[in-house]
Amino acid sequence: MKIIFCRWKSICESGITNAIKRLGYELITMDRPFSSVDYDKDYLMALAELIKANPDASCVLTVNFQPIAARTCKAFKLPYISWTVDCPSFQLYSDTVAYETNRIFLLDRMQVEKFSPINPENIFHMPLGCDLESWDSVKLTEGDHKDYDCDISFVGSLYSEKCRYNDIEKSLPDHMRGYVDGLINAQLNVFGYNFLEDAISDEWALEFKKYADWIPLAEDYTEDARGIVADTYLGYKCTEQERIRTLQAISDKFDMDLYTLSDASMIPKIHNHGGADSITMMPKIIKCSKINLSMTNRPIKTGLPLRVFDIMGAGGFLISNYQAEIPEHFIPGEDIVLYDSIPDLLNKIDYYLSHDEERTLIAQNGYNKIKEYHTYDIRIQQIMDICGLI
Amino acid sequence: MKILFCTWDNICESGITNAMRRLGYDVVSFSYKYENIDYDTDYIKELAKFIQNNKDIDCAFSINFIPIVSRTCKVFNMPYLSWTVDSPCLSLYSKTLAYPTNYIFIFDRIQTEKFSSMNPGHVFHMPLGCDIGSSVQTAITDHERNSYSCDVSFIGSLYSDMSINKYNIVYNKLPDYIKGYVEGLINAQQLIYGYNFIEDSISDEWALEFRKYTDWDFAEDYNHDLKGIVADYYIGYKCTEQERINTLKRVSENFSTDLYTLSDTTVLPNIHNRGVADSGTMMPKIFKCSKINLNITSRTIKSGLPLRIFDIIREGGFVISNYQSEIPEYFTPDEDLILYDSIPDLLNKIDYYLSHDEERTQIAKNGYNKAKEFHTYDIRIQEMLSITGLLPASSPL
Repeated sequence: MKIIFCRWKSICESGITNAIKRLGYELITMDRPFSSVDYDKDYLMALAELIKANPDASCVLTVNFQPIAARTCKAFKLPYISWTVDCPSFQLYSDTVAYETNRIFLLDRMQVEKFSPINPENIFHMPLGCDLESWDSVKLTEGDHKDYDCDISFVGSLYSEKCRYNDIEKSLPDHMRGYVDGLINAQLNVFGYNFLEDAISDEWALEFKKYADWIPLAEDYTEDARGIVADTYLGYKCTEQERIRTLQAISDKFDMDLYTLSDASMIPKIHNHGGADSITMMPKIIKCSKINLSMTNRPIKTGLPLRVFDIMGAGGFLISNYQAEIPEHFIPGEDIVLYDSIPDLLNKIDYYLSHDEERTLIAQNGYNKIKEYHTYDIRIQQIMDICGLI
Repeated sequence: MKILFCTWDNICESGITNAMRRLGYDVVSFSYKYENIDYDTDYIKELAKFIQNNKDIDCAFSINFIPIVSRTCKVFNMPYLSWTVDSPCLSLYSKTLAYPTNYIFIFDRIQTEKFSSMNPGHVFHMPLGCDIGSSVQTAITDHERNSYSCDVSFIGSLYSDMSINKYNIVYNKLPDYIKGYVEGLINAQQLIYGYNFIEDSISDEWALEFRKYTDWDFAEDYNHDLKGIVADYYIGYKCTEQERINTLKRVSENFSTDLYTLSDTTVLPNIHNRGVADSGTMMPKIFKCSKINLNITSRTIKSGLPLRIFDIIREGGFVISNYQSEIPEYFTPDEDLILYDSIPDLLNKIDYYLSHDEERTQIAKNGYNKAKEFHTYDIRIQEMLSITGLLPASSPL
């Protein structure tokens, strides 16, 4: 089988590339950025040329759904496989999602339920995975231990710079600002059910939009104001508050390392080491941390973020917030540890820091489960199988 | 055993008195009206006199915790058992709660946890129960059956009245930011059953700011739990109001629904407002004659079962209730009663059970049998007396 893989520098692409090669499929790659994911004519022409040059190609593959690739494949009646690794992913609002040639795979089950009515036959749920071999190849030196050994670490953004809500907060009327704060403070107490979208009305979202004033989506998009407000504004704001408050609570009691490009001055007790390169540094940090923390970005409603696979695949011990889909894949307390409140998290950190053997065993179980069920190799096979290509 | 029952016209009192007598206890009731639940010295004097004249009294008992009874019993070193049937219950914040003579029984587990640290070893969880046993079967005339028969009924307040819902009193004074915050919180809370997160979602500073627009005063020897008061008496009641209106609106748009209430129902144009239902005479008949009895628990009851559930089941009525975390500890969902966890879920279940008479009848019967075996006042009273040490723990019922 021949796969045309259009790459745009997503961090998942190298792992997927390795897996496709390992599986023995013929791989044609096109590495080209989009000037527009919707209407980049040159991109369309280039991809069309590539398809014409490879009439035996079985499908085109991209990370995330790219309307321009969908348009091209539609013209050639060629299956277009996309695997969305972001949530939210605004391209899913494009009307091109409805094309029959699409095979759309989404990491989050709630996201699937939301979009599947648009193309019921061709939207599927597919959790993310892990490029185990490349994690396995990372070997720690004494210097690495010196640099990265720690009790607890978190690698990730605090979302303060990604959170558009912060740019408009001051311009909002008091009532609206209060409503958002009330909702967010409620949501922070609840894991496993993101109620932000259910707790706002369409009218409220349209009123909010007047102040948010986001760039209108392209003309062949179906704008879902409530979904956009809930995810991109309230959801990210909730993630920001959650990460700040959780890290404050942990670093008040424990020695904690943070790797982030965000401003972390509001968490004075944390050891902020700045950014961590995801290929070279991150696996070492994971392997050297007694406890790795995952706080899922709130717009991912039920699914597992990439961080979970990264940590477990690197053999790290993981404590994650509860997400509804996690127990479908991992046994809490055996493969992974889940928390459902900050006090619960602090208790579990305390417990596992002083129980080395249990911690090591859980990390080992998690790694074994990834190896057996959640590698990119397995995912690619599952995807091709669902598409009827194998 | 002789029990001094301090009564104040609560609807649970007669059933409990019946049960105590059935159990063979000597019940003397003291029904002096108090002016003030904390400091009415006349009440204390009268009660003290009463105790002195009845030297063989083993313990005092009341519905809800009454500080003046607690003060009196402390002086006489007499065990004082109180069974709190309301949530919230302001008197639990009284510092008299800490007296060693108190044995405090609370029907809601979360409320029990909240107050247990005030008097460790003397605060207990005790769910409500039914007066099954003594009661003569509720007789219904054909005329009454005609009048009360309906598909769906709900008996209760809409909580819009300012005497309960203090939020509606202060609403106009509140700054927009606070109004918005409360609305956001309430709209979120209405989507979730089984976890009341209102108190966890406000900070002490926020409660202090809210306090500025209100004018309640704590009695001086009370624990000032500002956040708890704001969460229950203001936001919690407001949430109950909104939830009952929103739920009954959707139910009455889809099904023929009778509502018995004193509240104004202009916001519910499709509902049959039947006015007030007397709890002693009419309520049991309504429960018996409704195909479906709805229970929408007040949000201020965090985990426990409200009296309404036991009242309906006692009459052999079929209950659909919102999910409360303690319900599955006492009744099996789908066998003894039905639970819902969202309005669409409720509408589906009403639809289903209206057209499945046999299942409905069987479930109501199961619920009644379960209550008769495990949840009577007789059983509860024996449990309370055992816990207090007034009965041997293994005393047969």
